Amino acid sequence: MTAELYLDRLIGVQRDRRPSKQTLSVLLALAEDPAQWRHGYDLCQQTGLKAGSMYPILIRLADRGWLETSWETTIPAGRAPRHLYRLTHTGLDLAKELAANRARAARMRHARLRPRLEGTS
Amino acid sequence: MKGVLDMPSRLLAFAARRMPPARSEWGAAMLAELTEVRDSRERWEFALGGTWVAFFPPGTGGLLQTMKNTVITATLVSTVLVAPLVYLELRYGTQNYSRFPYALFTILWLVPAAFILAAAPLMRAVRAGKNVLERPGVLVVRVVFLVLAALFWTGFVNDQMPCFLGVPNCD
Repeated sequence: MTAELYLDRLIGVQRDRRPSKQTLSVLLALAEDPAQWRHGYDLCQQTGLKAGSMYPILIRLADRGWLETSWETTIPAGRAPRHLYRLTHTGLDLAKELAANRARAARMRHARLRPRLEGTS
Repeated sequence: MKGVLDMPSRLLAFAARRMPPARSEWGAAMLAELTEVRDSRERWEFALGGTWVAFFPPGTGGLLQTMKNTVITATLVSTVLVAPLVYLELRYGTQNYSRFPYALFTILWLVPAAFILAAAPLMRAVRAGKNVLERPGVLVVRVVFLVLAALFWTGFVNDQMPCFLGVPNCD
């Protein structure tokens, strides 16, 4: 029981950690079409992140159970199978939650700025 | 340019082979992905970024942590091995700090340290269930070095033991 409570606290701490801007961009890119398996390089191109930033993010997302990974099964001759990624259900929930938070924060920022902008005009 | 001269791919493959077993899947993933990067500059960027990730993967400590642990182990084991000999030398041998054989004890300390540094990758590979016979040349060189280092150290200690014990006229 104590151990469970302790684990819950740990998991809680992990979930409450706010992801970085880069992690958020990867989550949102993956959430665009959650059923679709994605490649690492495609995600790099979409998010503008380099491999040195992208892969640590993918590794951490997979470690936390937010990212599902797989290997290509149909492989053209002469090429190694590529690693594929898509969000898990919890990952998708998190991405939606973060996207909603971001939209809310943007609206609030806009609302705070509007009086100032109106004042200057 | 690809093929034999594909340096980005070689660099990334070299780094990926050094990833901890728990992360080796990601090394293979980056390497496979590099084949899809066509532009030369982007290939280098991807390979350099991937190399960085391979050497310092998140969550495991990576190569730097492994190196640090190995150096600490080598230092501790060497010190534990040499400390009794230093004690004997000071107690029964030299009895005089100005004539203390620093060079001798430095060698006696360095040899076990080198032994552990050379043995550590082999031990890690065996523990990880890797096939150590994959590169027989490297294995033979390593084993020969380990055997020679062990023989040299035990022979040296054996030869110097009378001096450590204060036997007169020993050299």
